[in-house]
Amino acid sequence: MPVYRTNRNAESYGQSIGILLLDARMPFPPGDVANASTYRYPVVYRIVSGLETDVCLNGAPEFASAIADAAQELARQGVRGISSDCGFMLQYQQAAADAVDVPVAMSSLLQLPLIERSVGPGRPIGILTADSANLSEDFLERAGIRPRNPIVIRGMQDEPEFYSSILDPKGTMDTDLINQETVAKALSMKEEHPDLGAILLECSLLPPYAAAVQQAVGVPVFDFVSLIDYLQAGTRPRRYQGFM
Amino acid sequence: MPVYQTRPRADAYGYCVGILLLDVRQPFVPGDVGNATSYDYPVLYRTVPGATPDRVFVGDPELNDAVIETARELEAQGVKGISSDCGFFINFQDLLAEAVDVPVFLSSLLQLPLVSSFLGRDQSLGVLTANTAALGNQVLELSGIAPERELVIRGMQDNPRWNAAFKDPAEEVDTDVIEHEVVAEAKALRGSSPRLGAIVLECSLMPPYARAVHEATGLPVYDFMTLINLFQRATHQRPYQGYY
Repeated sequence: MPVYRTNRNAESYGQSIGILLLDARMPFPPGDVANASTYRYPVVYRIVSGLETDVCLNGAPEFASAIADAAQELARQGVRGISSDCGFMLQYQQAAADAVDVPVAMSSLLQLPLIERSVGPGRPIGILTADSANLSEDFLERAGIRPRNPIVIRGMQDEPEFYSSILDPKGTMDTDLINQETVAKALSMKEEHPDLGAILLECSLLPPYAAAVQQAVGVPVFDFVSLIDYLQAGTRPRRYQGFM
Repeated sequence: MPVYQTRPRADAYGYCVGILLLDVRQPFVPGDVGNATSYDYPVLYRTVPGATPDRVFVGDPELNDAVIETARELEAQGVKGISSDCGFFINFQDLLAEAVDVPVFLSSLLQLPLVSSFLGRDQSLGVLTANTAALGNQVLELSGIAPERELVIRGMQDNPRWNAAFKDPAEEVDTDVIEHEVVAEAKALRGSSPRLGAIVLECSLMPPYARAVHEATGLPVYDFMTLINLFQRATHQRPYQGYY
């Protein structure tokens, strides 16, 4: 049935996932949520005007309706699912999900309950976040995520290259340096908690370093891209061409 | 650091995910959890002796030792995570997650809370299972799904061709016929709830038909394969080679 219908709201077609972006200018290297070459499928981006990094990290409920509008706009254009480029957008998960019919996964942190379940009761889960001053169990619980396992939260806010590239962006980013900073933080979690069950990278800028973290620490590493890939997989189930 | 150590109990190397199998003889077609061509990576299978469907459906505690022993054998072979080929292995999820070091994700039903979190408050979540009688409140509670979410459940147990194809032992399966039955149940699911937001396929025999279910209903479809692929990804992170 090769009959296709025009969508009057669409500029173009075939975009799998729509991604809402913080209003921030900094380099997004390959592996970053906001770099299109990170995915094996097409994505489309929309900036949420005025929602700057520190505004989102500090909590800004007044942006909920702007998020809902932006999500609707992406859905009208035809995306099959909606995500974001900041784990702290967890605060808008419900507002965005209520606004559209397509599935919405605004934050890497949504994976936490499933991760906990997979490593068994009692084993600590490490969360590596952009800013541990703003990420607390309270913040998770307000979004309906009630941790059952011990949660170890570590932030990147005091790491010089991470801070100066991302939290107070200077316009360049040395990914070798951020790699070192990220791996060192992850290793310190493992040293303090030898039975660490898994690491969850909250920040959308950290997936480029997930492989290095995994190699160094030797535990499963979940991140923003593992969530978005999962979201996408359900919106376009594959066909199988194997043999028996 | 290209130094590799022998694993004393490994026959071979490079298996990503270990999969516990029901003790049955049935045709596992491409796309089935029990067909190795369903994956983009190597998996390793081990049958759990005595794990017949009726015993797994009720979580027979006499199987506990066999489940743990078989999983430990897979772990000793070097797999980085353990799944199964029956959604009702969820009865052994917490037991096994405590018994091994690698993450355990035995059942597609473990996705219910995550997929539910993608939906709006007024949307319902559909579940298509092999057997609705086995999917009682106790099993749903084991999945961790929030009681607030409206669930719509249908089963394959009254479909003659499905039953004939997946009795034990079974001779052959006509996937066109099974697809017809699965799609009909999915459409009935869709028809019974106008605000259905997504469908989760419980049964490991269903992923071959996920695409057809998606095309017939227009809904996102999560199945055993989307779960296993998420964990494989998190346990085998790779560096990115994209563009800037």
